[in-house]
Amino acid sequence: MSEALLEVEDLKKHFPIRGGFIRRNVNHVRAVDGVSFDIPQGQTLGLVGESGCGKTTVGRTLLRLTDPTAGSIRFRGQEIATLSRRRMRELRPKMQIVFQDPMSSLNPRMTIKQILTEPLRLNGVGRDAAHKRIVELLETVGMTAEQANRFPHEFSGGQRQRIGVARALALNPDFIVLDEPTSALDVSVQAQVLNLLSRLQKELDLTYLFISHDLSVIRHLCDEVAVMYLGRIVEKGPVEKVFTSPQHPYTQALLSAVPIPDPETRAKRIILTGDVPSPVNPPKACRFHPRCPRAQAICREIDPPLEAKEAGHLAACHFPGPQEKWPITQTREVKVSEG
Amino acid sequence: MVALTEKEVRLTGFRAAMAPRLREWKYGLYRLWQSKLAIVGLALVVLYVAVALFAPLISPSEAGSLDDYRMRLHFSEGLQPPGWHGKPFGTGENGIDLFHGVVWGTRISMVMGLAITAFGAVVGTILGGLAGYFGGKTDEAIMRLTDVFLAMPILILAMAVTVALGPGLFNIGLALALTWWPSYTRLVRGTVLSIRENQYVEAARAVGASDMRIILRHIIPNSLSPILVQATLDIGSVVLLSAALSFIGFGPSGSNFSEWGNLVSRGQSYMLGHWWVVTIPGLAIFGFVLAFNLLGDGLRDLLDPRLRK
Amino acid sequence: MDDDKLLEIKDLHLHFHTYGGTVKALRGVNLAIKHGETLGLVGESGCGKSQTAMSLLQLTPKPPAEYPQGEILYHRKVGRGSERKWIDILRLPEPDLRRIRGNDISMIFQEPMTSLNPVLPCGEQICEVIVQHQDVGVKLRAWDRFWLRRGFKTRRYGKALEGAAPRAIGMLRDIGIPDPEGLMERYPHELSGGMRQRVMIAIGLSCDPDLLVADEPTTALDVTIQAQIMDLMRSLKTRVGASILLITHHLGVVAEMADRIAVMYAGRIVEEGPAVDVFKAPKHPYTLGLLNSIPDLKGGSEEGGADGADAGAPAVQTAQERSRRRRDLPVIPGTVPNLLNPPAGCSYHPRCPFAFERCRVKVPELQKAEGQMVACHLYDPDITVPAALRNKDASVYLRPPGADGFNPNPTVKESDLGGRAEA
Repeated sequence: MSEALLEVEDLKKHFPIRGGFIRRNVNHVRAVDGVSFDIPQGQTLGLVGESGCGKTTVGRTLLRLTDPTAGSIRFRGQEIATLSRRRMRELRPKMQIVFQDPMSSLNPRMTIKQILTEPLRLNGVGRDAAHKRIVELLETVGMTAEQANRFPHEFSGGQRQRIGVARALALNPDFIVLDEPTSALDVSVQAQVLNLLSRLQKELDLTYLFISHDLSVIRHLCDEVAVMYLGRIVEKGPVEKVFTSPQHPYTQALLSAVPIPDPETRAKRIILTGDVPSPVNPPKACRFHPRCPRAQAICREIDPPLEAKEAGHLAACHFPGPQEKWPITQTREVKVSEG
Repeated sequence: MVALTEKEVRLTGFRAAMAPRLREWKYGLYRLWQSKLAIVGLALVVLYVAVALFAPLISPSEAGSLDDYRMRLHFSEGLQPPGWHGKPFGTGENGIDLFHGVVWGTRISMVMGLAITAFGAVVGTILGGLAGYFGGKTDEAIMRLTDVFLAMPILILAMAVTVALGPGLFNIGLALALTWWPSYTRLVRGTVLSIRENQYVEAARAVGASDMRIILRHIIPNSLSPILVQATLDIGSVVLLSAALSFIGFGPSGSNFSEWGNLVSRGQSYMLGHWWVVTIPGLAIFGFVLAFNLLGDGLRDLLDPRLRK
Repeated sequence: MDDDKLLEIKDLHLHFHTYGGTVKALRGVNLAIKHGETLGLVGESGCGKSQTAMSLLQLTPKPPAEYPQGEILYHRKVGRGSERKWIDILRLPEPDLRRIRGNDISMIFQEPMTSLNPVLPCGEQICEVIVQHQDVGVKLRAWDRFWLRRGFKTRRYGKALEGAAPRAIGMLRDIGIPDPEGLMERYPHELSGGMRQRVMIAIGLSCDPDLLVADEPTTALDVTIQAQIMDLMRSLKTRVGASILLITHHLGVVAEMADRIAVMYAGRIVEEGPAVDVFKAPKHPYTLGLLNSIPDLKGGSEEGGADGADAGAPAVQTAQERSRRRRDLPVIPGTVPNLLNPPAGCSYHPRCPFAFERCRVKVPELQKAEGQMVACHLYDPDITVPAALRNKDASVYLRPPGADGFNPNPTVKESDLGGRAEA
């Protein structure tokens, strides 16, 4: 069954910047500026990008932890972008989130038992049933019931992250947003957590939105991937396609920038100069054109729409395709270094 | 009722639930033990608390005094140095027993200190918590109100209250309480602002917690440390200030009231030549403030999250 | 003592005395860095790599830290010529240590925002270091230092800073910063993460040190910025000729930058050798597990798995097929040992699929095994290397572990490890 569990259309989230004496709205941080995607049931969509691209904001907005400025979010066909607080609370058990930072995602003054009881009791589960459920949850994530009576700081990062996963599972959700769940973890612990997430998805038919900046993890876990830059999706498609034949120059630069754990491979690396511009005043027309190795006049004037270059594989670029196809127009801004 | 499995029993036993908190306490005591000054502070505080509690046993009132707090006047006897006739601290103006005065004064100071600080802390926590959590207009409104009260000089306020309601201990307390709560509001608001950014707050929202629950269950418990430290340090300051106000004359009238400030005030005129009438109650104030300051400093070091384990 | 070596750490032990007991952070570290090479020190949190770096400059406060054993031998330049002398950093008094820090050995840290002083302009922070160690034409007197220690700048000190400015600007220009004079005036919070890290590198290299210790220099940066900084460090190294001790947990970064690699686990070095050898033919079971638990950017499933289909998989698959085919990552069971009470013998044995009797009891020493040095009993001379390790078969890590992580049925029995044929 592959009907879309989640459909997002033209999602926008702008944060007002108050400045001046009377605190007028001076400007907006366009954190998310028109993002659309669908996630079919049981699948994983990866959201990749660097800091400031808006991926974390997308995750939070989907769960209505902050309210979107514009756009539509449909969960099982029901519009939730404009749902009232109370109605949204009824829906919460179905959509959960696992956070990035294992240190601050658990209340340091509550024991694990209290942390896991909270979602259950808030949603009407009785005390005994809650106890049973907690034991079940801890075992599902590979921990023991005795550990429930401890404080978070008595556990390692990996264990805390498992507790975060247990909390997300407590209410039997259909959809989970995973916000960089393994970024703060060591390699071997990351592998454990990734295997756990993979297993849970198969066993419980979960749907994931996996947000990360780590491309290798995305490739391992996701079915589809969307690359974000400055609040927009610049490329989207099945993960194999996007990784083996990326169309957008930013995706290509990103992929080539990842250091490979193989000393003999010296990748031809596209090194972008300059820093990621701020989402307050994004460049006009194509947002990537100031750093793009193949930017031409049209890129400075017309914003390329996100459209399909092949079946199911979309890119927002006037000159999509491998780097070799296009001349490098801005030689002084880009280096292609031989490792 | 469904029989609980053995695992569940281990999970729910009271002792099991308490175990982690006990561990934390033990660690806390160990840390406290490491600071010698904090131990001294704690010991002094315990001493003052004991004196306050057991005042009737330590210094029973003389027959013929009006109430426990008013010392018996012996007009015939003058000022006598410590040790005279079994009066360990000597006598003051009109023959009042300074020992009695200091002992019962401890009760007054303890109550004043605790009550005013508690009032300030509670009011400040509520207002500061609301301001910090909700932000926006609520924040603005509360903070402006706080600014108004912060700007009031304690002396003028005390005078105003005394003029309106007459001198006396309760009125000093009232004036102090009104000036004290704003600093807690500021403190709590700042703490709440930083705690609000933690991911566990968002997590609570994600599982459906209401704002009230988040404030009470997640934010306030994590902001207690600075409040506790500030309150402990403040007890000393409050008592110092209340003694000062009493000294100036806003306090209870009469030369024989057992309040440290009052005693110092009355003893002023006889200072030269009779050192004990001023020095002894003065030392009592000094010791009290020192004790709470040392304890507060120790607590602050203890609760500093950066110094954990 | 090879003339090749710049720094040698011998049997270093570091203990921290805490409430819970004594944490044995370093338990016999043996490491050497040669002139002009980049040594990558790899390991996970808690293995002791940062502590090793801090020990080089004695930056850990002495109580609660204690160095009960070991030496850190540094081949230090004496005078202006090329003459060098060996000294033991552990035994140096504080004033001598200060002369080494920043001048002979300098360090850059992970978080540039917290490593730079937010109230001083960047230029001043670079010049500070130069003034401290180099001759800038203005001689500082005791009076200047007196006030400096109390936080005040005398006029002469200001002149000294100005004297150091040209050198700082030159350094920034070498690093490839387009407007060095402008950068000198700016404060750290006005700069982006990549720029701040560049300032840190400038500070680190401003006095031409012999050794640059980089503790996770790119971990806090975005991928594209990380690529820029790595490129920068590589080019600087060839130009400046310093050795680099690169500490990181990211195996990709270390593969790109390091000539040699040392792998640390639970306070000891477990494997050490040329980068190519360690990656292509890892000898220690921990290294094997670590390298294979990284999701591969290039292929869907892991090599070493039983199925042969990985890189050759068809490009278009339905989602169902993908999730059915997605392999679990080989995972090292269990967790890192608690250094309050480390396991006896080899620290890795509770998690090692090849562990046998000797491993529980005797601490393995670093010994030669083909291209590398390994601390593992599997390479003891009276044993032949099991086939599974020889073929770099990480599938052993895909089997479910025993109850407490220790594999109760080790793949290898002591009796299975045949001795060398007699004679």
